[in-house]
Amino acid sequence: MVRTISRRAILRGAGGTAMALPFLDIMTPRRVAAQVAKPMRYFVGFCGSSIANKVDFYTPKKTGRDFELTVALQALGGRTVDAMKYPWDSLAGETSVVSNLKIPWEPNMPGGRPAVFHSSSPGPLLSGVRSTDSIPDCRGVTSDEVVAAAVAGKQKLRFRSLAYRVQPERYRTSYPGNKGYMSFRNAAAGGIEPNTPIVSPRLAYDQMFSGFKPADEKDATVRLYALEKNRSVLDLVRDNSDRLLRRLGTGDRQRLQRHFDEIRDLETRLVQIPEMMPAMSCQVLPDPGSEPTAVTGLTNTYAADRPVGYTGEDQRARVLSDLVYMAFACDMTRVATLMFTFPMCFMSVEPLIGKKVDLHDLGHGGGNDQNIGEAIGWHIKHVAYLADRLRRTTEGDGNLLDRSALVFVNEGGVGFDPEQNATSSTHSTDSMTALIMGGRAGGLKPGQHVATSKRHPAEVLITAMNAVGVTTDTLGEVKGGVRELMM
Amino acid sequence: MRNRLLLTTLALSGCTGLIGMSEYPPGDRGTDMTKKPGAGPTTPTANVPPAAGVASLLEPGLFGKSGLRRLSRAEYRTTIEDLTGVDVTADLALLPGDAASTYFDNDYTSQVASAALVEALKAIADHVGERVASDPVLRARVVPCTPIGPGDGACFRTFIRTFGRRVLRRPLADDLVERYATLQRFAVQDASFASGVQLVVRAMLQDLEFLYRVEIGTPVADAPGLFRLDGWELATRLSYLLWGSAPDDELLGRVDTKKLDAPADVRAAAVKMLGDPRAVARVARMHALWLAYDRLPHDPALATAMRTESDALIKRVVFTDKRPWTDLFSATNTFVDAGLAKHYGLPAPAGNAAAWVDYGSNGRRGILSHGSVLSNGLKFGDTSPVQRGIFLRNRLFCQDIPLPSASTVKVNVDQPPQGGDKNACKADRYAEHRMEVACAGCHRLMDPLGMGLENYDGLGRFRTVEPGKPECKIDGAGEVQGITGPNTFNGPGELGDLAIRSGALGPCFVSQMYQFALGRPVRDQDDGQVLKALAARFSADGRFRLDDLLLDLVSAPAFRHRVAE
Repeated sequence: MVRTISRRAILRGAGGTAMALPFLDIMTPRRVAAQVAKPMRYFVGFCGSSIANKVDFYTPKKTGRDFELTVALQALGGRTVDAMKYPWDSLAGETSVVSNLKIPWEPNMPGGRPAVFHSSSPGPLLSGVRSTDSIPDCRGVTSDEVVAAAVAGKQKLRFRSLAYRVQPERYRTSYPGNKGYMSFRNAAAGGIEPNTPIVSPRLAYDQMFSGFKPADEKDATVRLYALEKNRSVLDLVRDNSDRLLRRLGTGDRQRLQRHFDEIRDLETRLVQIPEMMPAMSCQVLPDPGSEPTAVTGLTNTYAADRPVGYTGEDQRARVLSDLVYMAFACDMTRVATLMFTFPMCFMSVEPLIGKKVDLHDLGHGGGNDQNIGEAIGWHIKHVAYLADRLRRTTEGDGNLLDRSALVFVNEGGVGFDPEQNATSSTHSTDSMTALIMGGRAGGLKPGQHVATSKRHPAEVLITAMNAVGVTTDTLGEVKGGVRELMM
Repeated sequence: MRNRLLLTTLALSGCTGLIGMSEYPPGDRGTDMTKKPGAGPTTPTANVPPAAGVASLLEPGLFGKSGLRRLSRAEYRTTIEDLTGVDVTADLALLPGDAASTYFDNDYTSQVASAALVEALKAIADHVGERVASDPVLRARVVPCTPIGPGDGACFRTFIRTFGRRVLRRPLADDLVERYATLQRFAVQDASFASGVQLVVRAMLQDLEFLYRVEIGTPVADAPGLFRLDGWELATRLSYLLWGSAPDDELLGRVDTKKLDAPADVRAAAVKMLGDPRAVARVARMHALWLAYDRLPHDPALATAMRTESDALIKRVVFTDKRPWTDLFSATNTFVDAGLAKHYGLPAPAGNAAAWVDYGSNGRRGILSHGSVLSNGLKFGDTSPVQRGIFLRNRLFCQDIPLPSASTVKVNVDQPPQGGDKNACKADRYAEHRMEVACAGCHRLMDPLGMGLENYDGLGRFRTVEPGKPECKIDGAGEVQGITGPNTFNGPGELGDLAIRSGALGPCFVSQMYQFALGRPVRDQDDGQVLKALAARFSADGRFRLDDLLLDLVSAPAFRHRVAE
């Protein structure tokens, strides 16, 4: 597995499998000098599960500092909890838990949602704009996109932002809606459109590193020649596209503009490789190998005829976390979203926590509340892994975690369900909990559990946006921020 | 006998049972049930002129607005295989899924480009280029000449012209040929003609004119926003509708020789195309998407057998026997192998291979009896009368069923009705949907419909009692609310009869086919006009000939024109 961090500080890396790669020949000190003093990174991770049916195994009881590590938060303990599973120093001091958040279940309220639970919450959660039906798409620009736009205004990086998803497929087709997006931006033709995530680790890896100098390169000529071919091909594609666009009517041109822009960005990325590798810890990651394939023969003991799936999500999450890390370390982008699981998630949790059921049914009697905590814990394990890698990476006079704000959110909470008039259910956006990690350089004060008084979860994102330098008190229709998280 | 859905309206719920139908009535005549299905003529279709009046109803510009449309994943896969012989099925996982607001996978109004898409398209194009260049057989397929050396500019240009014409679906202008020809410098440097071929393949498969169906056309005088498609654009429309792939050399040759200009020529070309296995697969797939069995969540052998069963029926009715399309819902036999026959409890077919087996009087008839269709509408670990009801209303009758609203109803859609009393029989548990006035308005449209299929489990097997509850006998009595006359049924065969008799099935199917053809949802009054005309044509004289419908559609002036968005 990928363990390489940087040549210097990080070789003690977990598992002793660290592997030194040479610096890329294209890292140039002048670029470092040109950097803003403290560039901040922004990350949002999403878990497509609520917290509990009744008993919450995620949110700590104790507020303030030294909160206890619940079932879901085990990974934060690192080695002290399980040196094999979590081979890192404790991250509890780097993490704040924000609880008792609430999305109002009233579609006429700012940032609200209709009573129907699936999948009305991701919209207001991630964009702060109310949803009026069960279509999970956001009706407003998501926080990552706001940050990306702010960064892009100042600096042209290799990637404006990264959008990845771990779970490659929904696994069950009987429910409508395209629920695999968590990042939305303004469309050129008006309205809001998704930033479709890359789901293939292979593709994500190639996108990031193709054309880069490999570890064992004997002769750069071959690589540079391949690069030249690549550029010539893309140049031709772009040129033809440009000519086509000019022949089209307004509607069709708008329809193709985004595709054209993406081709141009792709070409720019190839051209810009020599410019983009400033930081000392920046490395080409080892090749992730072939795509993890679907595990067959998985059963669903809760409902035998309801299909579940698993396609090596644990491995995928690790590769994609590594890529997010390296994109941050190399300053290839400052913004990333990682959707671990779909809202209303039919991924089998059997390979992860041993229960023969999918994540959604786990919350409906296919498992108990502790199991839900364990499944959320799987997500948090990967966020913790990412945070740890950032922490072990020096940049300037600090570490990268201090210069990042990582937020982790869940589809729902636990409590009242207006749809069924039930007092305690997973189909609730009461008592939602979020994590926010790192961000000291931007004014965050990690290491505490803040129980809010039913603040909107988008306020946690506003606070994280503030920490990375976006001055605003608004996300979509939601105003505020969780001041207690700041120094 | 004239049957129409009742116009009963429940103001509170918005569940009229008539959504869709009120907008697009099934034409002037309902289906005459005294007439045996299949009584229609089976004369060669090319000689049958469109029914009087239909041609004028499909005049230029009558199709609603259309926009640039990207190939769906399935179309992209098939096209690349047809063009190069390379199977990219395994690579499709790199591509983002097809978003759609219809039941199909080709809704251009939902298509959004992204970095993920462009990166994946590049990766796949690079892969195909590499495969073609390194395999002499594949290379010979795209390079029609023998190069005398890596720098053979004449052969390289011949390759660009022939392959480019197939990929971009039109002849390449000289300047475009020259732009592609610049890539030959790498062939010279590599001392390999194939190296240049590889780069051209890589570039062409990323060309927007390959990835999108570009329609520009010529402005029609005195008709702002109306454009007449040229022959190449029409050939592309034709081949993607009927084959789901690019036009082949023969079809492109018709454009070259001006044999795709007159409606009769288009019709003749389409007749030929319908004789191709690709058309059979296309029509089968359209049905599989419509009735939601394109991806069956079963053991692969069972899923394949079920899919084969449904595909075989569609092929026989539409293509081989050229029977009324409504036979799909009334066929008295089915195509099963020994395994599937056993699964259903049918007599095994004679011999080892799959064959047609009679249903006898067991209550099964038509595609609604197939495991493929019956795999839909499951919940809580068993068939759900509600979900099946929604499924049938949506798909067979094109009716929307609104979600329960929080202001009128308190329900948990993730718990079975009366979920607390697990011991009660299903019929009793679902009775609460009838008792509550706020629920009944909509549920009367769903539950009785699903209840009529309760004797068939989620794998399409017959049963008489609920799973694990022998005391709960299933009577299988169902009802289609919203149609006049007798409306009760028991099992999929009788449901098929009612669906045909309702007069709603044909227009609904026409609407679905139209959305599949145009690659977008039905959205305005213009569409309503077309659908009316097509539905009338489809049901005229109870013929319901799908092949004729397709031929009328593609040879209509409207199919030759586009209306700018």
